[in-house]
Amino acid sequence: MVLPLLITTFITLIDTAWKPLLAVRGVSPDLILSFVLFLTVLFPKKSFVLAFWAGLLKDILTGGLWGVNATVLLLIAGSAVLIKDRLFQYRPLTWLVLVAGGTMVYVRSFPQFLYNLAVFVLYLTLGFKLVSKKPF
Amino acid sequence: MRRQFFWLLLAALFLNFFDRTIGLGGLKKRVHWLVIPLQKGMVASGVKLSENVGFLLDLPVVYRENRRLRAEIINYQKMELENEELRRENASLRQQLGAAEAPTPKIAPVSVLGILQRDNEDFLVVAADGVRGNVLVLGKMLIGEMVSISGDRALVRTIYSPNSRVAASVFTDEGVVGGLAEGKNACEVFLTKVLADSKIKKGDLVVTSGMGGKFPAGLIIGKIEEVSVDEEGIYQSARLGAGWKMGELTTIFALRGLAD
Repeated sequence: MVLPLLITTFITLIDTAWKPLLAVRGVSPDLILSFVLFLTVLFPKKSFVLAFWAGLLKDILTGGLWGVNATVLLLIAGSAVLIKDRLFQYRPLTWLVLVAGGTMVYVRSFPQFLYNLAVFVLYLTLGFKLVSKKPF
Repeated sequence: MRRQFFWLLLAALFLNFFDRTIGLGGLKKRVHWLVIPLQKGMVASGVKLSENVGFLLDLPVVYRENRRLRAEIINYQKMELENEELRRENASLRQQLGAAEAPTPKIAPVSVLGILQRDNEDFLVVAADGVRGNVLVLGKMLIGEMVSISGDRALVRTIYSPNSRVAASVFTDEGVVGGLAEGKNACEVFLTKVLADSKIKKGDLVVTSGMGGKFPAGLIIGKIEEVSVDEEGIYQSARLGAGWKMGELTTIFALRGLAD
């Protein structure tokens, strides 16, 4: 659990500190959201703890009210696991629904949805390679 | 798994509720004290990384630009050689005809001090510095002529002035066409007295023709923006874009030794 926690911490740090640097035409991806959705696909058992940790860390780093992002990300992770279990796990449509739903709840921006989707696919590609599964 | 989810959700909601009602000010301050250096480090490393990536991404563009500029330099060198040949030919023809060499104008920078309105005409006020009766330019663009001088200041009648008349030539696809550049409304220049059958069009370059001897030939007055035919149908006129505005000038240049 230490390594996933460290990776989550690193991604949260990158998301909060490098957001303006990752912007394309003023739109930045939400690395944390895509990462949480990725976790629900590949590591559903760990996804809740990591979503909570990522949200809490984001709250701390951005100086907002503690618990807000933790709650939202946890709810997104919960919904994603629920949807994923009912639909087929490796179906691209499932991923599309996950990212679209997550983005709708979290940021409500279409360009960011596309950006998030790209990041999500990138996570999945790397993640599947990591666990030696074949998504495509 | 479900139990874990609910416990975590409860913890998050409790944390949020606690922060909203009682506040976690002290704890937040301490945590920020730890987190801020980490964030600073991340931002600094991100900027550095972005600069390096940007540099790498710019390399092909810079390489292409370099190649284009090299080609341009070779082109200019060719043109310079051709010009040199023409100069030599010109000098030899002048010698044969016994004509005097054209005076080479000297260029002196002049500071623009402001704009003065007098008798419904806007003049540029410039620092005189001993220059008198000269043509004012900005690069190859004609600004106007110096009309009066008092002490260390002088007034310049620009080509936008309603009293400005400059003999002009237009370079069209079918050759050179003559006309008159006249100022209007203190901010516009019109090319008038162009015969209706001359084919001038948007984008054609208008330069001084040198006729009358007041202005040297070849100074840019502007580019045609819009062409219209006069009511009588004999002449056509065109609105010109001069490429500069009176309020934006800070330093212009006086061509000495032309109009004196």
